[in-house]
Amino acid sequence: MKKYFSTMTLILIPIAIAVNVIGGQLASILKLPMYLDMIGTILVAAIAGPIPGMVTGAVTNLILGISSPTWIPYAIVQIACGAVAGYAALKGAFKSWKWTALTAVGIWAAALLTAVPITTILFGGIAGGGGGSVITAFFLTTGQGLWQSVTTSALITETVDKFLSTFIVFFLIKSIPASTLVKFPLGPMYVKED
Amino acid sequence: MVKKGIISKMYPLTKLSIALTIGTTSLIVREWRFGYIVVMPLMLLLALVDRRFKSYFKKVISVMVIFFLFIFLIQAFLIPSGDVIWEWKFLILTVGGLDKALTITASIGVFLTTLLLVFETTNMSDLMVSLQKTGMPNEAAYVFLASIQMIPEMSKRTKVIMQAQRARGIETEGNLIVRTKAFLPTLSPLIISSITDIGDKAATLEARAFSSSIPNTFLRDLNANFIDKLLPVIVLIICILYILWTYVPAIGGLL
Repeated sequence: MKKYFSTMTLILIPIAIAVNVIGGQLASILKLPMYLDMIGTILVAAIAGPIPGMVTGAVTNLILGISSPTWIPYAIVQIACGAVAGYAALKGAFKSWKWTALTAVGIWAAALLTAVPITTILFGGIAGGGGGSVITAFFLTTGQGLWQSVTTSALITETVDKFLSTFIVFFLIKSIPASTLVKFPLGPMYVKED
Repeated sequence: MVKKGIISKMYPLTKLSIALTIGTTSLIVREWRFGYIVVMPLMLLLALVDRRFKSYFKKVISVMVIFFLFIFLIQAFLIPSGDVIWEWKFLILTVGGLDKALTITASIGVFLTTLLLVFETTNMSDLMVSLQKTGMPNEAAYVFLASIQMIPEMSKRTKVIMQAQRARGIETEGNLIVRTKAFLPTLSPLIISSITDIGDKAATLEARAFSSSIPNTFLRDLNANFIDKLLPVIVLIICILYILWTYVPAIGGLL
């Protein structure tokens, strides 16, 4: 427990969870066709490692689940994405934009591989929030199968979403003051010595 | 102080374990009558007994209606299987589709109504205390409770930042690209300022012995009485009997 979670990390996690929730709210206030509810998870994974990242993701959806329990199964998506981002971060992926892009591909794949089965098997094709469901219904009327429709609809909503989230984290790390950054487990990696 | 109803007075872990037992049962039996005729009306009745019917019902409806409409649209009307009951343009209602939609919505409905009733009648701090007593680390309780507190606080700050950035000329309305561009200048000041505050918060927590390894004491005193301990066992036994009844042919299952 203590090995993975310093006090700094433990305080970062609730803030990141709030960032996840508010990112999602802001995306809907600005009427963006994206979730943007994973920025906090990726941020924690990038500066504190995979395990805190996964915890951030899981607790985010548990808390969303208090008011609408349909979010709870999607905790698996957050955990998978947190893990991918965290292990990539351990290898230094968030230091260059090229590796960040590759990490984004990994996160995107993890999200699709976990979200599509949950939506299809558990919810009969309806995504937790309901946003992508209109698109799914549209593809169904054109005669595609359920798995195909859900996958196509997820491709549309997830792709830009995950790339944007990952790159927002890449730029955020650059703007966090070095004096704060070094206090996190993976922080010193991003601070240039000169 | 408002007098607590019987569900609200129940030990938090008792409620949670009963809710999860009933939810899992509904996933295993895959029978829509269990959800629609037994569990959902029962939960509404319990909410009524607990005098929280109005706010509980509102929550259930707001989560369920659109979700269920979509499931019925997709499962019952757009994926045909079996005999046709009703037809209009591209919407075809079939026996198999209707059955599938009812089964899926029933399981989801059971989870939704039971969990929402638990959260409606439980103080989150009480739930955390009861979880800590069963061995959950206090750091986990901190993360959970701090998050619940943090969300409205940071939400308020977001609105302030958004107004400030608008005053500086950032457009929050317009086409998709304009709106996407407004996202970052709103969120990043919030994140950066919250993260730079962490150092102070860590010092505050440490000054109050947050990392101390000595066993915790609790401000809230919560104890499970005999009924609180017995009830989950009774529910579990009933659920197992029900599952056996559905799946074992010798006693009338798999009809």
